[in-house]
Amino acid sequence: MASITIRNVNKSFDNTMVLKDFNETIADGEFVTLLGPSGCGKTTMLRMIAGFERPDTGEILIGDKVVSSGKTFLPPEKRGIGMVFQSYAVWPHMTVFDNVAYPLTVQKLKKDAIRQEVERVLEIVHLTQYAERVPSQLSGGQQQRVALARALVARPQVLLLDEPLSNLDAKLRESMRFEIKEIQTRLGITVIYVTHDQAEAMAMSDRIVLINDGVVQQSASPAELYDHPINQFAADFLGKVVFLKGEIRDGRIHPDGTDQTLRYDGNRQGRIELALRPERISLSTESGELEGVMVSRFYLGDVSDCRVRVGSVDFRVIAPPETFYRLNPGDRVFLTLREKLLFDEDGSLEDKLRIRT
Amino acid sequence: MQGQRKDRFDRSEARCRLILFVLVLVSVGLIWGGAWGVRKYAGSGFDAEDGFLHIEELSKAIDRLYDDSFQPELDAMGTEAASAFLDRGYDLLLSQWEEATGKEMQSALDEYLSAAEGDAYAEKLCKLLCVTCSVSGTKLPSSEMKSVFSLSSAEKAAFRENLTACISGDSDTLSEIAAAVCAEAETEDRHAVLIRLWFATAGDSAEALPTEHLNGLKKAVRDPEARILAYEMTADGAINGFTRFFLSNSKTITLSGLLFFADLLLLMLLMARTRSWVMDWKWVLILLIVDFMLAFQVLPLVYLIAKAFFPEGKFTFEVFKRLYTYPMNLDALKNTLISAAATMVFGTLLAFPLAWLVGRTNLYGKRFFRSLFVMTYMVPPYVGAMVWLRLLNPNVGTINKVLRLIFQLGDTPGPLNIYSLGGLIWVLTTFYYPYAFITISRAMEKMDPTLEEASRISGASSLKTLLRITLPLMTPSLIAGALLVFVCAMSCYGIPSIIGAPGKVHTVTTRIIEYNGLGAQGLSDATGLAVFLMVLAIAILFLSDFVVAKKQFITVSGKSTQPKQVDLGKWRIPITILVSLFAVVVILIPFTTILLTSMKTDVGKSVFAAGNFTLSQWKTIFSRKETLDCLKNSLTFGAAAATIGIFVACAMSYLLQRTKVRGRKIPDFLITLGSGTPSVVIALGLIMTMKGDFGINIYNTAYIIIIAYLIKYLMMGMRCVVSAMSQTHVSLEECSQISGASWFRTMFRITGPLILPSIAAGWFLIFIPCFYELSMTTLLYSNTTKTLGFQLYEYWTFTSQPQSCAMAFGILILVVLLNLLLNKITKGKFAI
Amino acid sequence: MRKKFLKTLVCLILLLTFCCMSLTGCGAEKKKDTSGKVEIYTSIYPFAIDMMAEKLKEEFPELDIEFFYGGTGTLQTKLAGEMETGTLGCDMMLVAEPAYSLELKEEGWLHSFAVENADTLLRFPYDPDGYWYPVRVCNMVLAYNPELYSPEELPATFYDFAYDESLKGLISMGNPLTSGTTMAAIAALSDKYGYEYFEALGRNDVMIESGSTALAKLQTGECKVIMILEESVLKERKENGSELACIYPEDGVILMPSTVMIVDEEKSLNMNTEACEQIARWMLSEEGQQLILEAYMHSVAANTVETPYDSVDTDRLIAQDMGVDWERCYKEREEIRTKFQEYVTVE
Repeated sequence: MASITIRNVNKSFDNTMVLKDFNETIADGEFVTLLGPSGCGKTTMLRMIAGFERPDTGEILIGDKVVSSGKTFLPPEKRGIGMVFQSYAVWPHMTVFDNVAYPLTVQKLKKDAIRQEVERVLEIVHLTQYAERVPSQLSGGQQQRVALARALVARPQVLLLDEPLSNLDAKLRESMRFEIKEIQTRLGITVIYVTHDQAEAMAMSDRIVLINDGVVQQSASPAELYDHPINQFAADFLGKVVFLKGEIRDGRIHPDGTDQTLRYDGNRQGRIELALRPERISLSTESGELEGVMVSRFYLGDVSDCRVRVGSVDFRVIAPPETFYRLNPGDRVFLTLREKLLFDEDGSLEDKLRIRT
Repeated sequence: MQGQRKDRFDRSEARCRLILFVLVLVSVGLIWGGAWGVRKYAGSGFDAEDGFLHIEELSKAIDRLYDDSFQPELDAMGTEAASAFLDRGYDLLLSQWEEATGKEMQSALDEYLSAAEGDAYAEKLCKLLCVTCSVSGTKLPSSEMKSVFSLSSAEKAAFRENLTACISGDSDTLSEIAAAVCAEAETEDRHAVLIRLWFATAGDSAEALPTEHLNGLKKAVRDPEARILAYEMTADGAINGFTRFFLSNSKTITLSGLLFFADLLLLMLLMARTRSWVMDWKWVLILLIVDFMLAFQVLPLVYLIAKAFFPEGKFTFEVFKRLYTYPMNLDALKNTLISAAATMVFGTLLAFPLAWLVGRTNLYGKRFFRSLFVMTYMVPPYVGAMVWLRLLNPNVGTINKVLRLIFQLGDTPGPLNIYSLGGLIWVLTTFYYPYAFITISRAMEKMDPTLEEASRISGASSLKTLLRITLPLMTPSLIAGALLVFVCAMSCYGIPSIIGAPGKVHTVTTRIIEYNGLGAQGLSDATGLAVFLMVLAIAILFLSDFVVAKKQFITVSGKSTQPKQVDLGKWRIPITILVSLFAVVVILIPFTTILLTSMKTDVGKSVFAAGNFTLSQWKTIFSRKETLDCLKNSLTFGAAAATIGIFVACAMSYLLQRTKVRGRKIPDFLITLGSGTPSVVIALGLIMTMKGDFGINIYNTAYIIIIAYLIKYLMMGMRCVVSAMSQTHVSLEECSQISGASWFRTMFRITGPLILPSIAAGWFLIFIPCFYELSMTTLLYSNTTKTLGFQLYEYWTFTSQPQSCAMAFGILILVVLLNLLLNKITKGKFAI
Repeated sequence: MRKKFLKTLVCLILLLTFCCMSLTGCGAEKKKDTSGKVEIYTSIYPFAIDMMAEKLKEEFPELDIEFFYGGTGTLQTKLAGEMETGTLGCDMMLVAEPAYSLELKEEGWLHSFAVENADTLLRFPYDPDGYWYPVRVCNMVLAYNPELYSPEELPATFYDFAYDESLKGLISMGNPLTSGTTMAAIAALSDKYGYEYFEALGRNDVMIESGSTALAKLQTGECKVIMILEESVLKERKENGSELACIYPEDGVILMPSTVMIVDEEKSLNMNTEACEQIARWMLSEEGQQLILEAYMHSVAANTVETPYDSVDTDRLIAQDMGVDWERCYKEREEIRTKFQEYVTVE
């Protein structure tokens, strides 16, 4: 078990900057997710930690050992890391047992020791009875578990996962999430997880490193990231959000597109951008901060997804399911914003107003 | 609404069935007509079918002559004179016929003439006489003939009157010209000569009857009795064009009719199966291809096998027994198998690490090496053999000399001797390993790199990963590449003929060529040996394609990540040096030797010795008309084969990739078989079947060469196109179809452009080996169809080494340029 | 943009192909039989053919003469194939192996013609019935490279060529299966020395290859001495200033008076025997023989003092001639070939 330190890492491919000034420390036993849209550089970072790419500048340490720097480079096979690939990379010409045993046979352990360890991990991933099967006989989920077992068998210090669940169907994805998290907690391994699925990241991580265009936007716990996003990108990427531009004048917020105003207790002045979480807007037929008209609503089973027009602005509201039946398009409704996030138009968080009802 | 739709559908279905029915009738008609023609032809005793064509033309000419000259002149003669004339003519005719056949012909002649009376009798006799005299008998002196036709019409009329008078006995004084002619004719009696002169000078043009057809008839009908039949047919009058068509092309028609009929049957079967009676032009295209393959590939090969087992019509193993108990042949067999197997092993052993180094590591100068290694594929093997002779002959070979110097071995011959089985294997390996290299490279590129990365992260070093993961996963491709090398090495002729023969190392291919030089019996012996090669090739191909291919692990990656380059670390420089050494030995030294030799006068001296440097060889190449002709031929034949081939390849790849027709593997197998069949065998088969016995006579033409190339090299292009099509998703085409485009349009506007780089690559892959091909051309060439490869062989054998080296290097430059062109067009995506 | 370019390129290539094909005319066999065409099959070297074609063009401007060049073996195979169909593909033949003329005459393929004063004109035998006449003399000798070896070290006879063991692996000769002159030579040698001669050749590891390869080996020193036609050596000497020299074996040179034959009219390609006769007569004329000399071969005309470049007096060679039994050469051709193959080309 070890920590991972990344200092001042830069990387570019063919004159395109892929990662810029990456600085992070991952503590021992932490479950950290590198999250971001496709092409943001998260996989590249992961591969650099694994040793498949070399950073242009900067250094990477695993525990106390420098594995990548200007002067030294430790090849992947010497880093003692486990990795699970998106395409599973399970070898088709070997049985499940041989696949999982491979890291140990490389270390030239005795046959009995190998057998013991393999059975141990197969147990963990619930694949004991498939030991003698060939990968082509297994489903996608089962192959993924083989990959996981193989990554864990040599008791690595660090486990890297590169979008391991993106090839599985929705239900399986959900259940595997919990399994992986559970294994990690049980074994206490440091995990670096790469994904573009924010729900996955939120569910599993101790900490999320949000990356966009090669630059780290924010590195914090899921809650922190969700409640206090550092800029519009962060707000947008996690959860649902509605953006609204406006101006602060005379102590009130004047959103564009409507005459109605909102209360404001902060020090800012001038143009701002308002970010609202739809599920933190309350809908009422009696009173509220803003008055508007229901435009449409969709029944999603557990919630109602509504659109309310205030002036010329559309607000998205996630309301309790009954709203679908009680309110109709054209009805007059009132909105109360339980939480407002304010950003400069250039995106930095200045103020937060939270009203609890 | 539904009813209407059904109606429309039914109508088109009915239309289709009607068309098919009509076509079936047509094909049956063809077969029947062709068969009738064949029977007629067989009964006629003619040597060539086109005898009928000449008869028709002569008939027409004679009819004209009769109407224009004979009849009016006969009428002008008066009954008595005419009848005397005709009597003389009858005598002459009879004597000619009897002379020709050596038999008594009067009854036959009388029988023929008895049917006609009066005017008709005169007509028949005249025509018979005209044609008989023109065809047989010595030619009349040309100078006199010319002078006759340069007379004015009045003079000519007078001349003919005089002739007539003399013939019928009315006069004795000949005109000058006639007298001169008589004087020249030493043996024939005067009347005969005059009569012949009379017939020969009829009409207005310089020749009474067209010489072309006269000669043609002479050649087409040689047997004297058959000739007489031909005369009778000519006199009978023109055969109508339609009949003549069937008569003179009977065999071709029958064959085409049979193929057509078979096609229609298949088509109907397909339609019945899929229950869709709509004319699908795809099937027509595909059936045409199958026809082509059947006629030009299956037929010759089957014929060969038949000839070997039935040399005189009876099934016998005699030929094989005799051939295979002859020690020299057994020796050849042994050598062929050993050399092919060894080449396969060494070639693959070489190719795999090279492919891995060049494709997956950070070797210095990878791209350079990649092009370099593939270069030997572009050189005629013949050339390489020549060079290795120079370098490794035991007495004064350059490399041997160097080795002797380094190791202080004194003056004894050796240490390396090219004239041995080992030498043969060495040269074969250096020439055929690129085939394995290319196959393995391709497969390696397609392999999912994460499989190797997973191994690395599991703690295995690069080397271990290579051995335990990469190698096992690549095994199917390795085997495929190895088998390819085996088949190529086994079918090679150029290299064993240069290296093996002096060292008494014979292979089956050299024996076949030697037998081929021994006349008719030799040809069937050659066939017997060829069958061995063919059977072996088929067996191996079957193994490779249908057994090994099944075991292919699907390893094409999903995400398009760059395959991780293996860092060779401290081994980087040593390995690069090793690889460079290999490149130098196998490629640079030979090529440089060729270049240098091409500029020497005295091969034994260094090119820098006084007076030894010359560019005359190069000048000769560019100035000799024959070389330029050969170049033109090579380009044309190669281009033709490549173009036709790529069309076929496209059709085939569509068939294989986009349809589920049963039996679509058959044409594929045939095509693969074609490429696996040794060139010599293909050529032999074509020679024996394409001389007209089966109605197709393309012997000694460019067509037979192009077809041979096509059969041999089609597969290369096809594989290229097939793999490209397999990577283009079918949804792209489906989208086009939904938008309303016809199949042809989809092919040309959607699929075509998408796979165009592969099409271009496939075109070149067929073109280049055709360009310098040697083995088949040696057997199939004629004066006007010599190619560059053959010219090289001639230079090597009959001219001089420097000359042939210049030629070889020239070819190499051309091929490299073409490859560069290919590279440019496909933006580096496809180089061979 | 790229697609357009590719399309245009494909179109261009197709266009080019079709143009070339139509221009080539595809070499179809069925030519128009206009008078004035003659097809000659010959194994004379291409450079000599070029010379002859030029001269013939001058001499017979209205004649369209085509030469087909092939080694003797190739021609014999081609002709064998054509014989099966009953017509040959040529009108005249100039083939190096004289015995072949005997064979063709006996099988009735030839056309007889008269040459004026043949008995005084020629110094080599000709067919009394007029079916073939010699037009050139090929001379089989030994050759060596004086720059590397002196003549004293080398064999002076054909006998030594095979039996001298110091030459093992250092000698070379042509392939009797493909070369008519080599075939004649081994017939003569087996005549004189029996089939044991072949065995000796085999023991001496003689290499069987083409003349040009052998010459190159002389130059590099890979071979010490080779059996080759004198004309090849003379050509090297004249055109490339080479030092390679001939040894005129003391047990006899092997002279091969190669013949000209005209195919019987009925069986020939263009049925133009008149023209063929004229050509043959021209070849026997002074002009024709001059050409032969320029092509490094000896003249068949009696009383000709001139020799090809640098060679020895022809009459002297005739005196030294080993002599070939041509009848045997053709009657026992198979046997001679087989014996040769077995002794010489197998380990």
